[in-house]
Amino acid sequence: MSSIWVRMVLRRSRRATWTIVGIALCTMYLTGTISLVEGLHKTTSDIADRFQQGAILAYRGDALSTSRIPENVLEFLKGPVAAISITEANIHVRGSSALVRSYVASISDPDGIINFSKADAGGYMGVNLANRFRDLGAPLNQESRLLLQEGISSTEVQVSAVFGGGTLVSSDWLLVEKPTLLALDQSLNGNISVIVLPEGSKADMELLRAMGFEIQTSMTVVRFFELGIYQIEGCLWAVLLVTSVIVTMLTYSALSIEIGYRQDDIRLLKQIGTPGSMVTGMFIARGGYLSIIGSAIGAAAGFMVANVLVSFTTVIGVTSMILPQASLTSLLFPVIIVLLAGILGAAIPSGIAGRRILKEVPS
Amino acid sequence: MIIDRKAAFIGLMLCSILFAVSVPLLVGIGEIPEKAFGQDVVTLSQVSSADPLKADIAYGLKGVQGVQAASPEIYSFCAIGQEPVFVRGVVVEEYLKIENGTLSPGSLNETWRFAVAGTRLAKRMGVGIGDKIVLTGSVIPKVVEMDITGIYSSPNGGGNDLLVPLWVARGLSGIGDGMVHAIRVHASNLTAISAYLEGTEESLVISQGGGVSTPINTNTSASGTETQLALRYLDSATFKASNGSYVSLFVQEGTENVNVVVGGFIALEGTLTFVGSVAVMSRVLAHRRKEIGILSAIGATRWKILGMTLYEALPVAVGASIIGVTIGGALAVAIDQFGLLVMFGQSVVPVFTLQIIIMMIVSMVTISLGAASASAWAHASARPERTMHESGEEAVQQKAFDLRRSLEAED
Repeated sequence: MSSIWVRMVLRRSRRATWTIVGIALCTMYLTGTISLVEGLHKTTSDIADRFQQGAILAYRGDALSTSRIPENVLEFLKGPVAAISITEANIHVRGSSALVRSYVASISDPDGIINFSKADAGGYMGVNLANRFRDLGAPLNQESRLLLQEGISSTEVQVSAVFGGGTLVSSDWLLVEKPTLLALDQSLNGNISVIVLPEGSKADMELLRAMGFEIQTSMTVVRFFELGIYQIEGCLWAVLLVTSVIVTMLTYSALSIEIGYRQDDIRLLKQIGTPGSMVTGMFIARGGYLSIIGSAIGAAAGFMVANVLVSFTTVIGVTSMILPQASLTSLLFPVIIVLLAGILGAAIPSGIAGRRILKEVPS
Repeated sequence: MIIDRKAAFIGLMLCSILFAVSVPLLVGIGEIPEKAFGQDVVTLSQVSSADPLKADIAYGLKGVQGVQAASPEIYSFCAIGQEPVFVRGVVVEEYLKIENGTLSPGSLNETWRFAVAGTRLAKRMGVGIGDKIVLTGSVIPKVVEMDITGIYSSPNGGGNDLLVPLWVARGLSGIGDGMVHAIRVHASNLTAISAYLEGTEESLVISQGGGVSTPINTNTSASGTETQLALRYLDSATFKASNGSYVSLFVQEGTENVNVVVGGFIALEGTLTFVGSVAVMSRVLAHRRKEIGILSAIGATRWKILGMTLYEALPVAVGASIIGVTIGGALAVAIDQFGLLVMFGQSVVPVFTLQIIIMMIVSMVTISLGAASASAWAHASARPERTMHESGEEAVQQKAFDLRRSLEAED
């Protein structure tokens, strides 16, 4: 009986061949598209890495003004580095009622990363902060003195110059020396707010990332497009999920038709007293067998077709830089989907037919 | 009865659901640029990066007859954490008039330094009024810290952008003082606008919906505004000096790559829906192969069987399509409500118009009837004695496996 069971599972027929072809096409479609989506991700990531993205900023938490990083962290870094300390404060112009809440910062830039030539000097005001005071009726000049207040702390600073928008730092900041900043915010004693690395400092960036810092580049247009394309991948995965349902339906239909044609075999097996579980198990095994053969062929063909499609895009005048990627996901996901659909497609109709025939033929 | 109506209905309805989820979302993807750059309004844009647009024109336009709102805007493509964010430098009041937008309760009336997040963006980023965000430059190095001062919402799928003052946006995009990328105008009298703009002697392009562009004080012909804005933005002198040419290439190649993949998906989606319907109808008709065999045996032609099948399939296809499109549409709306599909920081909003709904139902009925015809033709073309035989097994080789013979041999 066991040899018959095996022969029933493995038997060849024209319809079984077409079922395998159908399953292979479904798997090919899923494998091909997944490998293209993964290829799109890798290509995007590779291309994005080639562009300038500006200096790298590392800070803690969600904001620069609340980030506090011990100064000794800088000792772990191998390359050049700059540091920004920053806090929020109320800024008054002496002799006027004008008050603006803005950011007060000090910069340490021994290696010239920030490209702000007088970064260590005090009393430099961003042009848009100066414009704000002008709009409030307190235009600034070389003699203007500012009262800085935060909580119960306060200090004074004289405006020595105004800086424009061509620097890394925002034009609503007031740059002061570190002792002035400490008089305003004691939490910055021994701490800094932001570490600035020159572009390309991968080792130091990864180290800081591993230490739990937020990492952001100072120019993000390339990152915008990179993340945007990753979002498109999300859409493509959703579409893929939808098509997986169709593929499941196809595989289910193909196998249920295949099993449906074997109803006289089911009747015969019941007549000779074969247990229902064995009959169902036989057809499940057959469904699994056809699905595995079909999905193996389809997976291989999927990678091949994806590569061919990408090659042929040049024929229609589109240059595609996507290289389909073979991965565990692109291999296992379609095979598992198809296998599950195949087993369901075999189990449900054979179970239904078995129960129906059992009524016709009492064992 | 040739077809199993219940099984056919369920299968075809499932296909309709999948079709109706996909189509409105795919149409929505196509409408993203239009929503971002507002093709429903008149847009004035710069002719080239060498001829930036003066924000003062917007303030002057407010005095022109028929102008309800004029919004000077600067566009910065940024990233905050893992979120691509379209940062729009605006005068909030004018922008909200253009978008028919509103500020949510609790928003601050701040005009100097504000960051107003769209409802959808705020939801994606998990931020609210009072939260801080760190913005970095788009095409020039910059770092800015902002407080979220408000949340805005706008109809028609807006609410994906971060609104900041023009001076902050200039810092992010590197354009000069007093300049903007574009001015969007709500106006009822385009002639008056053109006359005013000609008087300013500024070179610019007026774009209206439907891709109609009119150059003013210049001979340059202009294509779609969204293309102009995107490419000219990346063509800025500052960025060009660093790596602009590479980025233009990146954008161009990236767009083409995405088009290849998305275009392929659209074509395959339609094909798969058809193939899925064929699978459903084949399975349904396979259960009735004996009846089809009997009909053939008593003299029914293939055309007769095909006609009978279509007659029975038509009401099933219509019912399944209407219900499937309804359920699929509801699912597409749910996907939008949960913000599951986002592209370049813009939510993909499903598009439902009467034409699209009718098109989906007609397409699904056609696909279903096509699938029924294909399956019925295949069954009707088989020899009656084979169709009537319950097994219908055809061997690949002459030596077919026969269970009865094998059991007898084993005994």
